Amino acid sequence: MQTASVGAVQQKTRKYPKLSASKKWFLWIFVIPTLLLFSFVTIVPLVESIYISFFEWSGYTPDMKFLGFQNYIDILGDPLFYKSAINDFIIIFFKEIIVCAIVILFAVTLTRLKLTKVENSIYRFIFYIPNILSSIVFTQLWVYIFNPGIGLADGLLRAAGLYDWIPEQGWMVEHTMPVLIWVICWCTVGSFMIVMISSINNISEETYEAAEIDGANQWRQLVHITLPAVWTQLRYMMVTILCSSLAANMNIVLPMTNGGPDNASMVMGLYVYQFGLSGASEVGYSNAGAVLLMIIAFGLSFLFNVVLLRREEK
Amino acid sequence: MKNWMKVISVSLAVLMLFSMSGCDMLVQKDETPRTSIIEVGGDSTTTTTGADDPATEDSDVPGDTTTKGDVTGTTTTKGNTPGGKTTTTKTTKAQSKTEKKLSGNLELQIFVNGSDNNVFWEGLINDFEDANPDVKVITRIGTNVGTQLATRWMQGNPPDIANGGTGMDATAYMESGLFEDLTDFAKTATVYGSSEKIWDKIKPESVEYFNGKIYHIPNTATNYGLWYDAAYFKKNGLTVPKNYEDLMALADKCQKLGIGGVAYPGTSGAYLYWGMIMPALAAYGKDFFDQVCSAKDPSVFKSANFKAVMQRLIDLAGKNGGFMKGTVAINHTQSQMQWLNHRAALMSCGSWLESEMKTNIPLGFEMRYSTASLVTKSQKPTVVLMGGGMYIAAKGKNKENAKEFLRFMYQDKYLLGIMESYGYMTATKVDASKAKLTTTTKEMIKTVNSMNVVWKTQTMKSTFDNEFRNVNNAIVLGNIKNVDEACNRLYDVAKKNLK
Repeated sequence: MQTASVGAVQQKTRKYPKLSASKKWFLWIFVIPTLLLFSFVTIVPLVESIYISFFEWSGYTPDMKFLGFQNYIDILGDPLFYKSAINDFIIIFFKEIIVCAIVILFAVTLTRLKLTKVENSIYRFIFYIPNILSSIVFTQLWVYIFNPGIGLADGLLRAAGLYDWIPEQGWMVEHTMPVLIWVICWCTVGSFMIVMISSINNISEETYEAAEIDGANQWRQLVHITLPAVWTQLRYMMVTILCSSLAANMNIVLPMTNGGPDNASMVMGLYVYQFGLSGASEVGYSNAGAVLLMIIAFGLSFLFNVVLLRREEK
Repeated sequence: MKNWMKVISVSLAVLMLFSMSGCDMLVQKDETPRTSIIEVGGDSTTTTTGADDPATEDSDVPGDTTTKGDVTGTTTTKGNTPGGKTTTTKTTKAQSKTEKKLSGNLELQIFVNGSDNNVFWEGLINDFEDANPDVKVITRIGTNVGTQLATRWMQGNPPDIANGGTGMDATAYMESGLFEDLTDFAKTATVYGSSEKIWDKIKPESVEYFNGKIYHIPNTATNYGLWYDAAYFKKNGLTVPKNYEDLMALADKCQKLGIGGVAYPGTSGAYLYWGMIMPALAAYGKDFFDQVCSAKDPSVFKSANFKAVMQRLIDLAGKNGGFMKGTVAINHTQSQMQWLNHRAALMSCGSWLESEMKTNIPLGFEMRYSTASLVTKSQKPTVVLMGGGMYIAAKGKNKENAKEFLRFMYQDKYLLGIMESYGYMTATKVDASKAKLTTTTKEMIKTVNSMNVVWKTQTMKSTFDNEFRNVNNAIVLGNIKNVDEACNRLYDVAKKNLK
């Protein structure tokens, strides 16, 4: 089995045509700038970050004191780091479920339900709005929606006579994580929806017509035709959410709760930020946190890919 | 299937659109000036746009502010706030004959929290440019300028002079030697156009020392405290609290009214502890207060005095009307909105409150400063004053120009102007009665003068600030009911900071 696969790889390699010297130069011209840029903005900072994580450093002076793995030991001994990691995992777990469900729902609605062009455009525009706004704008918007007592959320509940549903201490205190999860999902849906719509549009209409003739209702069409056909895009979506969320959760948490109240919504990105840039001036410690965050993100996405690939192979 | 999918989609679309309507509220209420990077040119006419000032109390101050237009009128500021070009230019040009000629650049980092602050700084800079036509002044001004320029300080390419504020951890900067040592300059430099020494002009008790050195020469004095609406208190028969016992009594009345006692922005650290806790700690004496601020001896957080104050916070938080519900999770703009809407009787904030909220204060709202904090009836009401000034970058490219700007700023006109624009008290011996202040600021100064004044002359680490905020929020939420638990958490972080 192994020999066969190695053979297949060799065969594939041989399939590439030999490039002439001029073509090679042509390709290198395109590759080198990107490679250099990638090295400078990604590889170099990454290596530098790993290097700094072994030092005690305020960031303001050249004085650095080598600590070895002490920063890592301190972080792994800090309960707040574990709390931050758990909050990140909770957000990602619900984000995967909610975003995937809403994206599929919207994409199917906009492609399969024979909406008029105008309807289609309006829906696409509305759902894509969060992607146009900056994260600060829409987080402030939600902050005011959930403003205790005078926010839109409380106002709507009062108008509906649902006084008991209004949280006494406010949404950001009593429902901190659900509110954050909702806002994070809300701002993620639009871009993935566009990808999903284009994938569904690529499915042959004849397949659906044949299914309808065979008596398949919309639900069965969704489960047996649409979902299998867009599985690759769905996997891409899930892996992207997983990889991007660990670092990006902070973009929403910082302006909405600043990790509070009493660290209830602390996430790893914010933990790194607070120690590094937000006044604490413990840049070495902060970089150690960033390296751990990277290792966790890398490990999770690797695991996720392996699980999903195995599922595909079956 | 088709129908329910349509129904869900329409519902979600409506929800999204509803959420967008929140933007309107944001635009109306959030008048905090946006951060801008400006290069100030030669035109000294300084204007700012904002909502018409509804505070009628300002109108009795002659020559202070004239407003025209409707909701977004143009405000032209005159009086001691610089910007009145004709008068200022004449004065400064006459004086400049005795001063040395400057050239080159000067880059300023200015933190502001209200629209009038911009007017003051732009006027001052224009006057400085008029007096020094060969100096090109580049101004970086805004509410987030400290955070935005932090990396430049880290890289060793800082602006020449900065006035601190949010995002600039002055303690860390001092520890790292990023600020110029101004000890000698403070004692020898004279005020621009005069032979009077700056040192003779400032109140010596307001000077903050770091390892025996002066890094900023104070010109303003800021103070936190509890603010109230006098008209609302009168209408509802509430007694203005003077101490902790009064706060406890007020909590019961607030509960009956269905409002909270104290509102504060729980997402920021300073507002609660500087407004309520620190003044109560300062009431035990300057030495004890300095020990708490410097946190060099962590055992101070387990001392009887510290525990007594924290126990009072726990007791007040235990009362239903002690704090406004939800205050632990709101930011400073939200807390101000809540207070203006009378969802809380008191607001813990600093003396910039009025200037920051100027465009949003409802008609009939009489903003006043109280003597109350967690100080007991048997102690004298105490206020903590903080001297504010400008820092010069040790690695700045134009240090001499920066020092000359400082000298320029210590002219009476600007010392009074900064009081007027920020609503601050002064850390100098300038005749403050000449400042054209609002009724709120005048009343605040009167209240402060009746209190025991303790100057903050020790710095505090920001890691401590975060934990203090978290502990206080946990107490207000009712998650910490044992004073030892609160004090141990602060002791631990102070101990960690010593490493």
